Amino acid sequence: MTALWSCSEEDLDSNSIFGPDASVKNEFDTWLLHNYTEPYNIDFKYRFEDKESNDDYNLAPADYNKAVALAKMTKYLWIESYEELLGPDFIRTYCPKVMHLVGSPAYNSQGSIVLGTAEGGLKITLYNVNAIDLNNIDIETLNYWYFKTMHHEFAHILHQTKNYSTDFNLISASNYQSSSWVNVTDQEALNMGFVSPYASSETQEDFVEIISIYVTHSAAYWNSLVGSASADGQEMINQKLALVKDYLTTTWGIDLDALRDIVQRRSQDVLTMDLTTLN
Amino acid sequence: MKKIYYSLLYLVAALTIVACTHEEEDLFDSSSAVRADEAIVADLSVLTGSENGWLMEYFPEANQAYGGYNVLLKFGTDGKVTVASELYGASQTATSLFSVKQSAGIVLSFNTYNTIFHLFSDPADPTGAGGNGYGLEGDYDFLILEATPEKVVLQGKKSGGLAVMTPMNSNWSEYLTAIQEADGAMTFSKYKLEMGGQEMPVSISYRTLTFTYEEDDNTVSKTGSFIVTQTGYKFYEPIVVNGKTIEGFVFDAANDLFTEANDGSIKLIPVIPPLNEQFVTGNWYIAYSQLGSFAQTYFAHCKQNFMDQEGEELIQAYMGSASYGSFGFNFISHASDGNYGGLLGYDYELIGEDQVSLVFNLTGEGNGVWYHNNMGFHFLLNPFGYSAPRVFTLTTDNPTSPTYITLTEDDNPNNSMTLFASQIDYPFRN
Repeated sequence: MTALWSCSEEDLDSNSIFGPDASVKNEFDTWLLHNYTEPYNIDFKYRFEDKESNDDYNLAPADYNKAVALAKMTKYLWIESYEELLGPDFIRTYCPKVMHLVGSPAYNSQGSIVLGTAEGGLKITLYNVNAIDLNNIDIETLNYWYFKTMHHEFAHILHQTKNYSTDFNLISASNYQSSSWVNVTDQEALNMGFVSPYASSETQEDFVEIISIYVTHSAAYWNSLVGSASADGQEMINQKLALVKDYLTTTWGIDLDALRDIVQRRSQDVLTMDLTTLN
Repeated sequence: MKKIYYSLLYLVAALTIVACTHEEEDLFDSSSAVRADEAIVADLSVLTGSENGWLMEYFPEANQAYGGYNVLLKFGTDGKVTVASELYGASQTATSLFSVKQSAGIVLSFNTYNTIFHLFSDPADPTGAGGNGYGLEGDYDFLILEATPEKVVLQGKKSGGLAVMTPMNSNWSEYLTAIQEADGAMTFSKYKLEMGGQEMPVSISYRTLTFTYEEDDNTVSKTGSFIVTQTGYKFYEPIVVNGKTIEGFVFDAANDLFTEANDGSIKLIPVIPPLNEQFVTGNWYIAYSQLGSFAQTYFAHCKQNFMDQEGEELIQAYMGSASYGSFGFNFISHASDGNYGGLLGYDYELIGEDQVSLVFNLTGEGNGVWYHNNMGFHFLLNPFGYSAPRVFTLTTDNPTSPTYITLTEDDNPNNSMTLFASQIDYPFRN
């Protein structure tokens, strides 16, 4: 009896309700598919997406040609640096799954500018892409705005995945400045045991600033940076660096000095890279 | 008990039949996703369908605080959009990518950087309007509210403002040139409105007009944002001023005034202040080479005997009130440890329409007093009137919108100084 009256089931619609957008695919889209999506499962969003960004900021999209250059440089200088050191699986597993480019800086009400953000290991947003000067590639500027940011945000992903020893937080415990870091000068930061003013904002920023500044600069730069701190500052920075190195080796098998050598060598190569051809 | 059991069974059976046969009719033939896709395709074909592109009347910012601008757009089937605007050279274009996608409605997204289009949303504030972090507060994403070959209505996702596009039927650069020329001819600094035998003052800020009048013993201000057309001003939406609806104004070049778009008896009349009033309300930059021999002697003396000795150089000097809110001689001086600015105050008296009497009033702002006492700046003040007033007659190139004003002292024709409306850096080098 039940069978007689049972209702016939409707077939599910095979079309997803999340339809693709009607953007016309261009050669950059194809290049990204082969160089980011397929090998690393990274969605490299060079087209500005409102929903990927913070509505509190007024922003502008990234320039197409500059996005192409940044995509090529980021792959060579960041992804492939880790790949060279640790093999393909590490970066494929832990890399952020979304990279979103924004053309303009994001201005904070305190007057500072956001260089980049990472959300729960999933997404890295890079700002101020339109400031790249394609005719005058300057590695210092690129490091400051993008690659230091990439290493900075990636280091957040690593410690958010497996935390570091809380001993680190004790070294400068009384000196963290919270949002007043914007008023801290470079020299004041160094004397308090921080490698940058932003590092003085809180422990996790302190931790990743050490990593990102260390790998994006030469040994000579690092030594003179630390050397310019007060004696107390130098001691604190060196204590923290030792903990950072220990964490990276034991937790992830990353030799920070080897990584720095690779990044430094590749930074020089970028100066002569073809940043326009998509092949 | 058994009876109840059977009754229940029949009831369930009956309900089942009802449930099955009473299936709800679908309101739509296809799913929401399929319909959205169809809408995207339809909107896209409207956008790309206009052969010569579209004219967009674009009012950035949530309250249209900067008024509206003519923007031309051509959407290609290759996913690229080419843009021109009256704010750039008439034949200049910029090309970038666009998408039409679903995101809380069908959205047109200008999603890679376009120098011309994103001027309106660049937080670096290239126009110097809204400040760092704000700029003109325009949009990059627009909801498509309506799309037909005759008209596309867009709504800025962030600002909420409407941007209407109509097919562009004429040559792009000729159109923009005409707009730029019209804008030049129709730019004034002050107006009055004549309506029903009464007059009211009208002020302008960017492309907004503010009408001020009395209503039931209260002072009322109404502001309307307008866009410049080839024939006049057109408001974003009609505004009601003292009971009358105003949609826009048509410029009457022969009579140098505007009439309301629908009611010729309502007149918007540009007010050109007398030259001496323009002098004391503006900022007039000093260039050494444009000073008469009398003033050059004083300026050179101050430079050689004071500034050069201390290794300082003037970066700017102007007569006006922009820096401290009161009128006088303003300066910025470059010293080895930074730049120092200040004001030395002036009293003035307007005589007729083209004469002014000036005298130093012994006050200073910022570093004014220090430079007066220690850097010999009293020499710089002397030609303008130091311990006694000097009376000047003013002349200019264009009384409507002067690019310079020449001050000639009535009692001393050697004391003649030409000051400029646009900023001059390093007065002693120019």
